[in-house]
Amino acid sequence: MDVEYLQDPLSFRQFYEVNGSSNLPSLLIDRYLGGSTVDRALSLMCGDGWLDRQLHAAGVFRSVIGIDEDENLVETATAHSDRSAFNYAAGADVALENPVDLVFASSRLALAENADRFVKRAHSSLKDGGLFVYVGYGGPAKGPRADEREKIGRFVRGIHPALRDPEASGDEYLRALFAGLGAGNRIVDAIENRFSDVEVLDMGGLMPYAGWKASKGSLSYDRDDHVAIPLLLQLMELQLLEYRILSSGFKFVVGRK
Amino acid sequence: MTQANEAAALAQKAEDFWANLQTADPLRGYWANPYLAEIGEGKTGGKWYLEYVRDKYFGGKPAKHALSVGCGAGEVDRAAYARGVFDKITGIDFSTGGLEVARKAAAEAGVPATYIRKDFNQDTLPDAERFDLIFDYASSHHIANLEHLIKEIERVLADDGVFVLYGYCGPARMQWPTRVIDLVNKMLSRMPERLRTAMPVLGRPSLWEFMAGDPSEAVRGPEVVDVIRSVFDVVEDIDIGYTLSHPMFSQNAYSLDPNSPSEQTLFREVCEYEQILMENNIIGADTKVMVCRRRPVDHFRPAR
Repeated sequence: MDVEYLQDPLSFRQFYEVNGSSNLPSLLIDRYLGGSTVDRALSLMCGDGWLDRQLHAAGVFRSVIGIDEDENLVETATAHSDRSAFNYAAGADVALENPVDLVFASSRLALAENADRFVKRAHSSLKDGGLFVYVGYGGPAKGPRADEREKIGRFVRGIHPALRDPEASGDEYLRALFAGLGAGNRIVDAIENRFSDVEVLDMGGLMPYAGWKASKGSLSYDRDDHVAIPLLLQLMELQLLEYRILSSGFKFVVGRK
Repeated sequence: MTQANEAAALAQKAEDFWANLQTADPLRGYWANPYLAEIGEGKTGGKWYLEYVRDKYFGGKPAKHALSVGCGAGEVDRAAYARGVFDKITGIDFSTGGLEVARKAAAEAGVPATYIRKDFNQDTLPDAERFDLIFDYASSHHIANLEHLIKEIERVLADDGVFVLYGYCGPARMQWPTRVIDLVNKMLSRMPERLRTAMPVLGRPSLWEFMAGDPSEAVRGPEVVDVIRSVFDVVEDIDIGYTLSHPMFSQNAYSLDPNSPSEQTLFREVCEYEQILMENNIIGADTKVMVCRRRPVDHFRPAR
């Protein structure tokens, strides 16, 4: 998964709007955190810390501890953040002095060698009543089924050749694109097994991702006719999920300890 | 106004509508988009539907004498002749203006054609010789007395002839189902303003709207299919689509820039979406190709 896609401000816009928000931070604050900022959060498989910085800037939490298996990314996260609010450590078993109010993770968690251990860690790190949020790939390790890839491929073909990478066609292309997303469904299962009041929302994401990738560099977001393309694909995909014609690649999962 | 006078006035209105449309401005619209044609041709062997019929039912050779029902200004006739679909053609239409254009253009293009004005609601069709190919491009849904027209087509079709419909069979008077309205309006809300200026929101058109424009528009809807089935053996029934693209772009397509890759992308994605929803029985097909043969035995059919 190309992290730039997750960072793109248009990605998942339709999902957030359908759920009464404009983005992930506002959805968390308004619907799950009672409109207030929590004190401490734990970021699992934080990567270079981009999501931590976004959530902090939006007022989701005051401070965060980020952990990741990749030491290089932890170094990058540290270098890009203010140490008064952000603390980073490498590894999966970093000890916390006190439990946190919120644990969150995004798609990198699906790539962790032992994602179950991270989920267990999330549970033990939370205060009672604390919130665990996973926003990331929630589908099977093999990616979407062949019949789903065929449909996604038709939307990729729908992108005008002048806006589309000529290599972006055919099933092999899509198989390669979706390879390496990780075993997202195992994470969803683990959360459902360990937490209470679990809510799983379908975010879609794969069809627009294929479109985003195929048209990368061709769309200018200061043009409304260009912005309309990813938004239309998102709208269509969410409708296809509702009709169970496609299954959701990404999931928004929240649970309480 | 008496009922008969009112009917005559509406018929005149329809004729004027089509005469003006076909003489002042050649027909153009969403259906002319090449991507829609590409999707349609994907269902007819990768060929234009009349070439598909030529190859499959006429051994790749031209029909001897074709009848074009609702020929309008004859665009389809000239395109078909250029592609070897028939040797000669008789075209019939209600629109005197359309027929004038058709006659002139056929003469210029060297198409062996005869064009005759007919009111399909009551007139008999030409029967000096039987036609081995009859095609109707988007005409039947304009005919109130559909049973009369389809029986007439059957009467003048050769025993081994082929009747081909390419036409609208969606809701009568375009009274779109709620699901179609919802799907289209959601998509319209994501369109750039320029592409929804003509029709920002889809609703169900009123009867008076039709009376003010073309009173014959979609006077019969899905019954087209049923009436054809009740007269012919339908040997192929091909769902083409247009169920979303038609209501969404019937007016807005005139704003689509054919040279804009982004605007064309938006149109193309709607077409793909429409096909997938049709294939999964979420929506029906508002446009079909039906290939029909005479029923070999029908004891109730009058002798001809």
